[in-house]
Amino acid sequence: MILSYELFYRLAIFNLKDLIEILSITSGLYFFSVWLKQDKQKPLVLYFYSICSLVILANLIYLPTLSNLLSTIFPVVIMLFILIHQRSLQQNFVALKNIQPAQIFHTNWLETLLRSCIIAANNKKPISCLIEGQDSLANLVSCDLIVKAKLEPELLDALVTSNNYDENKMIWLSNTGFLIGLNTNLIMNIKDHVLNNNNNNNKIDNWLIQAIWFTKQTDCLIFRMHQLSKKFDIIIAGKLIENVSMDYAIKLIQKHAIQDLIKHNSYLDRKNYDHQIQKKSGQQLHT
Amino acid sequence: MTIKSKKSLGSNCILKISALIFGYAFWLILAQDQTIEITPMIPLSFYMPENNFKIVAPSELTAKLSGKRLNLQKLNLNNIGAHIDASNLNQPGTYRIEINPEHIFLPSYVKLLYYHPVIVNLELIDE
Repeated sequence: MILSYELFYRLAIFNLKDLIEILSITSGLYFFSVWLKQDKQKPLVLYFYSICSLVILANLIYLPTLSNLLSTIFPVVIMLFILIHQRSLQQNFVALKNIQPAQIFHTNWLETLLRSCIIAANNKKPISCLIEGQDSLANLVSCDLIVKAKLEPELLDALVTSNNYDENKMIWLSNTGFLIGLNTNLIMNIKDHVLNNNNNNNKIDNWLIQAIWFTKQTDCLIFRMHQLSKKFDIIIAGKLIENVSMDYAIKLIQKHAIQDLIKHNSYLDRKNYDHQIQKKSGQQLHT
Repeated sequence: MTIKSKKSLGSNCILKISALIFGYAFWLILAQDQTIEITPMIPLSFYMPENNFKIVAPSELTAKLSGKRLNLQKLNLNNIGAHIDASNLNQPGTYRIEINPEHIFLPSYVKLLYYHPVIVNLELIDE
């Protein structure tokens, strides 16, 4: 106890506050050096402690001008270290901006989907699909089996004919031809509310009521295929189009799901193009 | 720089020790000119050439000292003390002695702020 008191006294540490201060500075230095250590390209920790040593040495051997200079530029040096570190990190791992990969539209995915629908109908399996538009449905639907794969005929056939496929639930697709999941349900407790308004129309089942309500709130498209008649019920923007033939179904789905997407993307491309033109003309005016 | 030295510098244990050393050094550079206060126990001694009496008195007093951190670090607590001249006390008995700041020998760079007790009871017992 006496020895430790003597030691602290010799180190000019006279009370607990001094210890807290030292530990705070030590923690800061430690975490900064650990962060610098993550840079695998340059020995930044060595450079950092070399500069720290220089500052301390200048103070120890009483070099007032150098000491003042180093103390003044020390924050700048730390900023430089952060910059060098960030730059190397950015070059190695992180892009300066989010790069969105170009979306490739598979125009034949709808044919693949409908072909699989017919195969399922032939196997006496009713099939219903939910095609996502621009609105994300991630929080609005529950999906038991997430697939997240490009729609391929063999994949969809295998999934639909498997025991894991629940006929009473939907196949969830994006409008770019991406199979998001199987056995999807709409999370909407609207049954009582809507049923009260639809007491007279008992022909419409609950699934349709939910689908109509859901498509009214979002820009998605829902359809189901009757296994006997091979006709489609399509629900778009809160409207039910019943007993539609295959050709008409393809046209409708293409119009509402795919064309909207192409329009949306061409609008974005056009917007970017206009922005670039404006930027260029602005630079020309400036020069 | 060799791979070995790179590895030794990069290990966390070395980093912790380095951070502690450099953290302390930075703290000392920044704090060396701060004026701080310490409260050490100062030994109390009595000067009595004729040593025929047994002295019963407090052995030390509490003093509050102020000064720059670097100066207080240099101060050797074993070398400071309060010295009271008791050579004029010839008879056994109890005496009230007032301690003055002059009795406490301190270097010029240290300032005495407060001390306790100010008056001590000194008892001389004939041996």
